[in-house]
Amino acid sequence: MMARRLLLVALLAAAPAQAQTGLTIEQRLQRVEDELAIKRILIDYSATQDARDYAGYANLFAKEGEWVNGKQVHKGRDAIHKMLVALYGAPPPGYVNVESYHISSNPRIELHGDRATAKSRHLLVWRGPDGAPLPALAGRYEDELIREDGHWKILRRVDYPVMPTPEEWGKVIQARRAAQQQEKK
Amino acid sequence: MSLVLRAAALALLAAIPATAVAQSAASIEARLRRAEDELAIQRIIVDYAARLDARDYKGYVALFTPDGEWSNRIGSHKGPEAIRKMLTTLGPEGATNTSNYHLVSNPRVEVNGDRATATSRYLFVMRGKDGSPRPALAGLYADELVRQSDGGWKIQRRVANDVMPTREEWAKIIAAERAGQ
Repeated sequence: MMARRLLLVALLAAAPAQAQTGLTIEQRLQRVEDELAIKRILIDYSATQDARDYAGYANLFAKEGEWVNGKQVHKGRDAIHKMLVALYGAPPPGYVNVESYHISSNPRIELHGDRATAKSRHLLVWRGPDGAPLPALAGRYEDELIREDGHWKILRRVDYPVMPTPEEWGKVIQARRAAQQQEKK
Repeated sequence: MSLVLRAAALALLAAIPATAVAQSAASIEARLRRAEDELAIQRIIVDYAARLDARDYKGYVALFTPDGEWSNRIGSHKGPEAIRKMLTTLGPEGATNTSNYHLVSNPRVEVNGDRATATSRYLFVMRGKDGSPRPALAGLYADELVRQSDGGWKIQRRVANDVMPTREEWAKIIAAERAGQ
């Protein structure tokens, strides 16, 4: 009887762990893995962008993936690849970027089975006039992700610039290009 | 069917699910370990900045293996004594540091059994002229790590690749600052 009572106590003590989440250990592990995998995608995005690895960047998107910023929409890996070429040009072989990098931070992931959403922040840091790094562009990303063929991919990334405004940014870019042209002369 | 055969068949039937359960448990264990490894290595990347900025030289050296090496474009420092000696150029151990800090970000960790590689980014932020923080140096870390007998991880090799400014620009910035002081 004593043994039975002990067993009952042990069962009662064990029950809440499962009841709280309603998930098995394997399902809970899968959630942790999914969160790590999606955080990694946010960082791979910056890494491929900064290295001008356009194929690697496009491959982070789902087949039907889209990149959105204001009225600009680029859908599908080919269109996204072309957007990068238009933006940065084709990098020379062995290109090493010593002009800029993106800090990717503040990830917030929400998992819904084979779909997920993610919010994060980006800060573009580029070479200032004296060579020291200078924060140039700050914004937010809002992503929708999908598990496609067993891997997480970006289904939709919306880039929301915070500062400067798109108009201000246009002027900044023009001034920077003019200064770089001047330097080359 | 003989009794022996029947017993053997029963044993086989019973054994199949048991093996499957054992395999599944082993795979869960391996997957969990992988997630734990990734988190532990991310933590080392952050601990590195914390100990460096706090001038905790003992703690900093302890992040490296006994044959651990730190290098950048200027030089290399291998082993605890050499690494510690490099740190003492920053001032006395344990000194309060309110003049700079390292912001580390973008960790990418690849675990291969008992070895791992990691890349991350650093932004060294210094006290500016009016006291406000000013980004001074930006770069990338590339690390090789090894699992220790106690299950923890240590850095065997860290390469700090400065992105900006260039070495020459940095020398100019520092000289200008010293002249202004």
